[in-house]
Amino acid sequence: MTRVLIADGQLSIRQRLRQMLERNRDVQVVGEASDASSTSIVTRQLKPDILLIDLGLCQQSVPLDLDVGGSAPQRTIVMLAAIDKRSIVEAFRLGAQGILPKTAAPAMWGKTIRRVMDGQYCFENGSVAVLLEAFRASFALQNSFAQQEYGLTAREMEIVAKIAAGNSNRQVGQQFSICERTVKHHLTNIFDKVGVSSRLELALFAVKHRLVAAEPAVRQPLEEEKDFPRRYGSGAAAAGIF
Amino acid sequence: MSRLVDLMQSSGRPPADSDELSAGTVENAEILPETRLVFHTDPRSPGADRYRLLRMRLRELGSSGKLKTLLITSPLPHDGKSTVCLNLATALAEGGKKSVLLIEADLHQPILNARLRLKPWAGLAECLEGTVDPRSVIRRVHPLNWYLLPAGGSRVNASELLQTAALAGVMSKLTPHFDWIIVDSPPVLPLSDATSLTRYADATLLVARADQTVREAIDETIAIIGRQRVIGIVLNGVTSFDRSYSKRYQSYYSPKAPRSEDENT
Repeated sequence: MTRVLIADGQLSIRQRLRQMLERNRDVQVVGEASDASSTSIVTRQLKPDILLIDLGLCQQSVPLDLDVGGSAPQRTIVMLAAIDKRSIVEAFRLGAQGILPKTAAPAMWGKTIRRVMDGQYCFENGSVAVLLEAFRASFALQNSFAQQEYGLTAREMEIVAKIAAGNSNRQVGQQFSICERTVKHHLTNIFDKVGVSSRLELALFAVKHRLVAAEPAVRQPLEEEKDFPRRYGSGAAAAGIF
Repeated sequence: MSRLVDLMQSSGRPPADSDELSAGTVENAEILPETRLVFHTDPRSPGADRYRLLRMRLRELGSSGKLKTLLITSPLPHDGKSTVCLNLATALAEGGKKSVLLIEADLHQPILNARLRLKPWAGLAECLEGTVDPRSVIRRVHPLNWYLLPAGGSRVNASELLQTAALAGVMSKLTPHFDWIIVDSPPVLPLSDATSLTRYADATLLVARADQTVREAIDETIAIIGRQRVIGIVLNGVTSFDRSYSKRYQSYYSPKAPRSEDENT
């Protein structure tokens, strides 16, 4: 049973949502809140699985533990009065795992709650494109600032990106058609400019300070077990090394 | 069956100093006796020496290019997996020449942050959910000189997360950056997680606890993981060996008394 808390300033909306959600057998509305402070208090008291909150309240409720890192115990679905770019990006920034317009069809509420409970993100159609667009624009801006801040040249930024992706000096040289020694020379300059002393530190620094794009893990085909003996050698392992 | 490498209980010394902290990429660990990091707290103890022996064996394989990612697991909980992981990571990183990453893959009961007195931050769970880049949540642990990817926030669907192919993405992103990757896995018999994780490791090291882990549990664990994947077993918590050996070991390592003038002449 998924325990849901509804937070919205309008009584009529809360009542309508409660009626709609309680038609789902696996959803239980455990409480309601009408303003930011009561939302914060009731959330901590009732510890719901899902906080269904109006964007306006969500913005006023900081700090409401709606952190993007997901360490808050409840998961958050933000309700929007109007679907526009600004609201979608703001809801996501505040930590929403689901975004729904208040006018969404009854079936969508139960579906969104179930998907968010499964650990997925569930956004209304069109929101994903808006978020990606906003992310790209934001990253391009930050990238430019970071480049200027550390005084890195365009070539150095390219090399940083390759190092952060895990390429060796030789691979970087091959990709840019320059010799390995030149790559090392670039790296020495980069180390001096950003204040690191190793390739690993540079890679972590670059991701953290957004010199390169953060890339969350994507789903890839599983490696087959048959690859293991070729890489490791089954004979030696079976005999035991200790 | 592989030969057994025995390890002894750790002892402690006061917390290490920390004067090297840079914003966000280094975390300052507090090493207490209960951290059981004998390699750091008591480097001249027999227990630390057993880890040197283990390191030597692993380096032999590592230098031949056969071993980089090592999964550490056990048949049942509380056999000492995390203790072995902490000590082995510290041993492999000693000297600072090799970059070592410790991945806490026990999403059910993460303990490394608490053992090292580190504040929690996002980790493997968030990486597998696709919300963060694994490179952005790795921190260097001072003064141990290795890197940590913690489990992150606890998840109700931990086993499902570890079975997603996102794990391949995480490993492929991290592997090129490190010389050694140690994966602290949940136990094998109660959960399927370790079996999923073995796909991404070059080899598996089992941890058993003396006078506690029964042979049948070890046999069953090896059967589940696959005999060809297991490169050895660490026997943890050996005390009888400790008593007979420790005295001679300490006397060998203790500073010799200066010779008197008479002796020199």
